[in-house]
Amino acid sequence: MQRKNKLLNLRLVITCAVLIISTVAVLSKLIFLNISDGVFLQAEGKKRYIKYRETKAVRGGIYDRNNFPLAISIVNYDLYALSGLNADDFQGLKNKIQISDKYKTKNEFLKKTLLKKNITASDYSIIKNLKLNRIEIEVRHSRHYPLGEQISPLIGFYGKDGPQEGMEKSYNYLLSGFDGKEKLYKNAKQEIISKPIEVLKETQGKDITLTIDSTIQFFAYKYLAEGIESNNAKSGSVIVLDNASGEILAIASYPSYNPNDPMRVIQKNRALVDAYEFGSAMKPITISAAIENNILDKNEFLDTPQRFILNNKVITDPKNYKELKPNEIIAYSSQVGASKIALMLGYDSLKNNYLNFGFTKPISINFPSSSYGYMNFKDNISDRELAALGYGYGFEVSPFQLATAYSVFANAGIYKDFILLKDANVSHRKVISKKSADFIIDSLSDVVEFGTGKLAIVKGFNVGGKTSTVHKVSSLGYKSDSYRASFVGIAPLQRDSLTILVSIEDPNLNTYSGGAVAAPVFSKIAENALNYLGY
Amino acid sequence: MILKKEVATSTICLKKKTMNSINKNNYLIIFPFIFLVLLGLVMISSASIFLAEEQTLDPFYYISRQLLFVSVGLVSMSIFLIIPSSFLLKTDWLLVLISILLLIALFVPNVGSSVNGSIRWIRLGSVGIQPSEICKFSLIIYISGYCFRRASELYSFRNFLKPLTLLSVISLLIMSQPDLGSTAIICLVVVAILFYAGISFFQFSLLSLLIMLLGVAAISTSPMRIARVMAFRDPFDSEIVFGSGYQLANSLISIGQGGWTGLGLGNSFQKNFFLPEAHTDFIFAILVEELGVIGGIILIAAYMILFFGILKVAIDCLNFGRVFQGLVCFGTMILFASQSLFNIAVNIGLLPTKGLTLPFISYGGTSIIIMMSLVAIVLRINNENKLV
Repeated sequence: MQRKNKLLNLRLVITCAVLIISTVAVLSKLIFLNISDGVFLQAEGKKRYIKYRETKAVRGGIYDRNNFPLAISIVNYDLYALSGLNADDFQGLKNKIQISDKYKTKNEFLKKTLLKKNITASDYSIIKNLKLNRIEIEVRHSRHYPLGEQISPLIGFYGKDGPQEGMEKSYNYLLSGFDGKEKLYKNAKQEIISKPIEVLKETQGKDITLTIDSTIQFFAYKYLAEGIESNNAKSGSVIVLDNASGEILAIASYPSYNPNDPMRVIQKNRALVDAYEFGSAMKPITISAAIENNILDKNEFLDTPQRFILNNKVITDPKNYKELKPNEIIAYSSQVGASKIALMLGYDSLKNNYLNFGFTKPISINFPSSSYGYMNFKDNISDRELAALGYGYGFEVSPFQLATAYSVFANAGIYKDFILLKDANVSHRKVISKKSADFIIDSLSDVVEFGTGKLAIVKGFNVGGKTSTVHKVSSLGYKSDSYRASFVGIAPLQRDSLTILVSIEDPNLNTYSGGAVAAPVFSKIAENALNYLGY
Repeated sequence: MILKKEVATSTICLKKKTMNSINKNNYLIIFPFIFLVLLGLVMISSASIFLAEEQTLDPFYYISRQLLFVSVGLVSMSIFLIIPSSFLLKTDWLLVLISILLLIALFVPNVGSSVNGSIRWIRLGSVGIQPSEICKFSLIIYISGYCFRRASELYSFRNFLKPLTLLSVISLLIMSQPDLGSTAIICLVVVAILFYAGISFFQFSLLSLLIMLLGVAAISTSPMRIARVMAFRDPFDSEIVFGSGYQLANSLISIGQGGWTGLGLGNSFQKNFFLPEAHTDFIFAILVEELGVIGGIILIAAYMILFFGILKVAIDCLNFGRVFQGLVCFGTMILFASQSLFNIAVNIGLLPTKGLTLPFISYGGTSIIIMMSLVAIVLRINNENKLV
């Protein structure tokens, strides 16, 4: 009995020991799990039941100077059926709101399906009241461009792949805002089981206001398009600048596209992206330097024979002007006269003058792929090349750069960095004296009065400007049958004027000169714009 | 006279000491028992709420049923508190017979009800009876009775073989449901009772080895069991995390999420269908997720107090020479301890996934009624000790 009791006690001890060891093992594993794997396990859990959803920031609008919308975002609500929506719930939904019959035969939804796009506010509240589980209303922002093709090459568009082209792209950092983030809890069936919890508040995009006047933009686009079509031309651009304020009133480019059309084909902005030789339009700039540097007196006559031979190349005028004063050289656009003045100026003065007028430098507005223009700086330059530089060949500028340069004459010799954003600062610097500028303005007036730009005349206003007709360049050199006709002018010739540039590419070969093709377009735009602005 | 008085005093003293011990045992059993049952009800209502709503549209489906089961359990407890333990000794063969018949009945078509490929329930209207749970109960009674009757002859091969034959038959029946977990528990309980009743260490070792070999064989012949053992090694392996490792991975996530203090009662994420069997086999994981490691430790502490109380009753009985009653209490303790530790070990990834419930906590009618009845029997035996 004694032995048995001892044995029993031993067995009891063994049993208790096993029990205690097992318990300690369980307890230590439980605590160990928590200490060593807690972080990993919690992360695994969050992976399973937390879902993050973006809350879209509303993209800022783009407005013209009078707050007319050029690009606006509209919030739309789309109705989706989630996978697992059963026939009864769907029928209940269909009884309350109109849904396309496409899904009539569906018994159950196996994947997320769009039921209805752009539901109305009343539909929205009906659906919310139904409190269905497998229904989701998604917020979608759509972008609208009220002016459509009139201004699309400037504004660009915001498409599926984000901002494309234009202001939409260059000012995306302001317009886009920042998407917010919200946290949702879901169960193993991927159903949302909580109200959204805001993790990051979205920052709505900022509106931007442009200096563009949509009415003037309309005139610019309308008469440009008409001018191009009536001349069977291919493309062109118009720029309207407000000289006094340093603001851009219109930038039109043709051909254009409808940014509201999902099938749109992008067209570049020819006023800002292209750069080409402007030819005769550079003569007033060259002559302004000669006047400014006192190399040439404004009443001095220059010999201008019809043929002028430089380095075995003949420079010709349409007729023998015999002798011309500087203003007449501009008015008749004498190649020979401009060449001689360029030779008088010399390479350095001519080049520095162009640089002063802003050529080959970045333009003042932020636009994707905007052109700097191009000039081939050389140490040694032949007289012939120097002469060509003087009458606007051998270097490229963008239409916007040329229009800015012409505004110097209207602004009494002050160069302004034109702005496109309403409240931006206009920086400016003196380029030539008021005297020289006024002389050029008078000469530009002569161009319209008796020179090459008679068709630019505007009823009721004194206007001035310069024509330019250049051969387009191909890889083989200048094309004999392809022209670019331009007219850049100031209207009216007084303080507070507009600089208007019209450039038309490939007009038909019967009338292809700047005076014949671009000047009438200038005239129409100037007349309408000046009347609209109340001059 | 003086001697007589002294004897009387010492008898009274002894009696008083015994009475104190018995009352203490009562407290050690009743308080943790009530705590565990109440905690179980709370945890079932929390863990089953979404599943119940999903399955029956009534979020309180499982908890209301469990309340019913606990009520039946209370009735059953009252009955066993009234029945003298000697009556159990007389009818132990009947209990085993009923258990075996019920186990066999499972294989009768339209009687056994199959869940997840296992036939474990006999459906009676809206309630199901789980014969393997009843088996646990009746085997404890029967083996204890057998050991009591053959106490001095257990060393003999024949008397040793008899209970083993019974165990083999029952094990075979339960294994063919299949239910390896319950089989393991039943074997463990029976072997423990035999061990405590006095089989030789040699017999014990032989028996343990045999059962272990059979266990290994059972695991290695079933692809699902092999997969579970593999999954147990790294449930987050990308190949099995949504397969055989799914339950364990989600159970571990629950426990990890709970941290020390838990997410708060009712705040478990994993019960949103991530953790299968959240209200039954994996209720411990939900408990830790909501009440933290500290909650888990308190639960284990409550179990320990209960086991200690039952074990004290067993020792008291043996001291009073009530071998049958002592072995019944011991067996009950082993059943509670092994099943709770097994279940928790599975929940925390210490053992491969097995379908075992957590005593008093998990949802399940047969289980709670049987467990409550066993507690009643232990209480009855404890209080019978007063009369000895």
